[in-house]
Amino acid sequence: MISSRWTPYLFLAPALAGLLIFRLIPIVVAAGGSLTGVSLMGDMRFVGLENFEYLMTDPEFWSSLNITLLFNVIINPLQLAVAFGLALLVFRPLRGVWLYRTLLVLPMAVSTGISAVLFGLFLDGNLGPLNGFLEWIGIGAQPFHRSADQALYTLIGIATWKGAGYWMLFLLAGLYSIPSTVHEAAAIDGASAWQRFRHVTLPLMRKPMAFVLVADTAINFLFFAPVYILTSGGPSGSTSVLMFQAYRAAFTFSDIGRSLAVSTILLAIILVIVVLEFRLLRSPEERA
Amino acid sequence: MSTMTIDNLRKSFGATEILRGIDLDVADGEFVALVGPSGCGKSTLLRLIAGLEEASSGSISIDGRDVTRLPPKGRDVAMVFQNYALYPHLTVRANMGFSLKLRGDDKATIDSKVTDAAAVLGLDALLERYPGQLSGGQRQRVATGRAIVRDPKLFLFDEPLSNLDAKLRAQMRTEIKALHQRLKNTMIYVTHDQIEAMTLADRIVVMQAGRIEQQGAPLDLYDRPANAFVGGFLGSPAMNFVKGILGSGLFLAEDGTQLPVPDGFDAEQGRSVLWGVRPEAIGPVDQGFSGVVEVVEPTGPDTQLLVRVAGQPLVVLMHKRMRVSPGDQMTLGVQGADIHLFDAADGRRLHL
Ligand SMILES: Nc1ncnc2c1ncn2[C@@H]1O[C@H](COP(=O)(O)OP(=O)(O)O)[C@@H](O)[C@H]1O
Ligand SMILES: [Mg+2]
Repeated sequence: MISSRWTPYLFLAPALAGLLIFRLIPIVVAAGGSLTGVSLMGDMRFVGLENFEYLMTDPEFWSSLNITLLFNVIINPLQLAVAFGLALLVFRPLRGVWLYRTLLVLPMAVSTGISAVLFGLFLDGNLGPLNGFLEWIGIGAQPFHRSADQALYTLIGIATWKGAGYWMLFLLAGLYSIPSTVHEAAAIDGASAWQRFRHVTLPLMRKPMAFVLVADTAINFLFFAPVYILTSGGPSGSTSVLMFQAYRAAFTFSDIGRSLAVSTILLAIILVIVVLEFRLLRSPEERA
Repeated sequence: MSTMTIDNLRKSFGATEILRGIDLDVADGEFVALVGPSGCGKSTLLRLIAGLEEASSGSISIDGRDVTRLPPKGRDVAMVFQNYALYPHLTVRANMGFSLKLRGDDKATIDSKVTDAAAVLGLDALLERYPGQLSGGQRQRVATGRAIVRDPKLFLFDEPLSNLDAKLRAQMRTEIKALHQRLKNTMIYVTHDQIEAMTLADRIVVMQAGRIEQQGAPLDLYDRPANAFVGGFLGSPAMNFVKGILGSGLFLAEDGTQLPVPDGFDAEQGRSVLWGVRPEAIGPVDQGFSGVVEVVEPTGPDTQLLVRVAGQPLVVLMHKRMRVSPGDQMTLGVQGADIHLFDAADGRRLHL
């Protein structure tokens, strides 16, 4: 008979082992790796904070950090808002609403790589249907991912196209979890449709919104494939997010240590922001 | 002053008509209980009065004003839901003050009204709690408090006690009665629990399948049900029914057993009827009809028996302890005034 003191840990062991092997150890290895460098002879050695010191003086790193933060400051609230708006639209029990729900969720089924390629064609200056349309309605063709001014926003659009329907699902589930009688009680208490949204729906959606914001943030800080496929960090570095920097350091410059240093910084930033987001969306009950 | 008049109100969901022509007048300060089996349309009627559903036809007026097409906001009614429907993200204080805040009362007014209502309901100590931190009975009180702070024209209750255990239910029932006697507001109270209806209401409205079967003072309905449905619905344990035909000054059960009829009752012989008598109206006598005891259920003050009479089990309720055992032969009797005769085909009462 195993002593009962250890039984809970025994049950937790598989999950903890998974967490350790697939999450914690890689993080420690990466953090450790960020303190190493490769000599000209090709062997690894400990370099202390040299990689970080280098990054602090590297204007490309700072510009990349700026781009990453700008990208996230826009895309996370945007995706949350779009997903919430869509959830509210398809929440209503209209006939055929399932069709819209399905259409909105479909982009999820398209792999990121393929969607980037498809958008490349869709937005193409010569052959792309979107530019044809824009010219036809008189706005004129746009360069999209081919211009330093528009590339980042184009990527934000693509990521939102792909992500919004997915995040909408969580928010839709959240809307369904609000008992209809609570809305009815508010209506009887004299709340207008807007007041019901403001005082009932919105506060009761805190938890699903917090989840979506946090999960979305973690994913968007690691946004990579469309950058790699569509813009390669350009034009003129305008879409070179930190993930792309990490990739380039490792695979273009073969500097694994620097790459891991970028990744470690990225991880630290995500951690801080996620903690802040959780605090921001705590319910008053939890704050009390 | 707040009266309500409902005129030929109908409601259909798709092709199914749920309310089939409801007429109801509620006087100022009256406590009306709506009872009926599950699914008969009680909640639907309440929701129509509140404005949560739209009437298919007919009209609802409150204080003489037609509110049939008004949203809930314009009707000045308060409703207590079966599941309480408290705002989970607001404290008890904010829950109760929500409607006042929406209508723009200043903070001092809200505070004093909430404090008053909380005192009435014994919620003073709970004002800063969240609904999630309350017991079922406390939530029920908060839901009631949220309704009374508004001092609405009309209170609507939809089975407010059905999620509570028996003991708490009895206690809250008394509290609601006291509350009504104190506030004297007009209240419409839906329940499927006929004891609640009997004890609380000035008037009971019995519904079945979207129609009102009968309405009146609780004891009038109990003593003189207009049909077999009402007779069977009000009262626990329920009224006993025996099928048979009328003979000359007596009732003949299907197996030929002779049972008495109401004093002076005279109707065509051979007519198919239902003979009804309440469990507490039957008792042992020297001269009467005989039965065999099948089950004995002592409850302390009462003894409930199942006695086979005329080939079918009758429930007999004695307000005393009885020394009988299953298998015993009993001679039972019933006063003529306690016998109810209903038409076997449509269930209508056949005598005054
Ligand atoms: N929104 C709705 N859509 C369709 N049918 C409904 C709806 N609301 C209630 N019903 C039906 O109306 C009938 C009466 O329901 P309800 O008024 O809730 O009964 P009660 O409260 O007396 O138990 C039920 O058969 C129920 O299924
Ligand atoms: Mg109901």
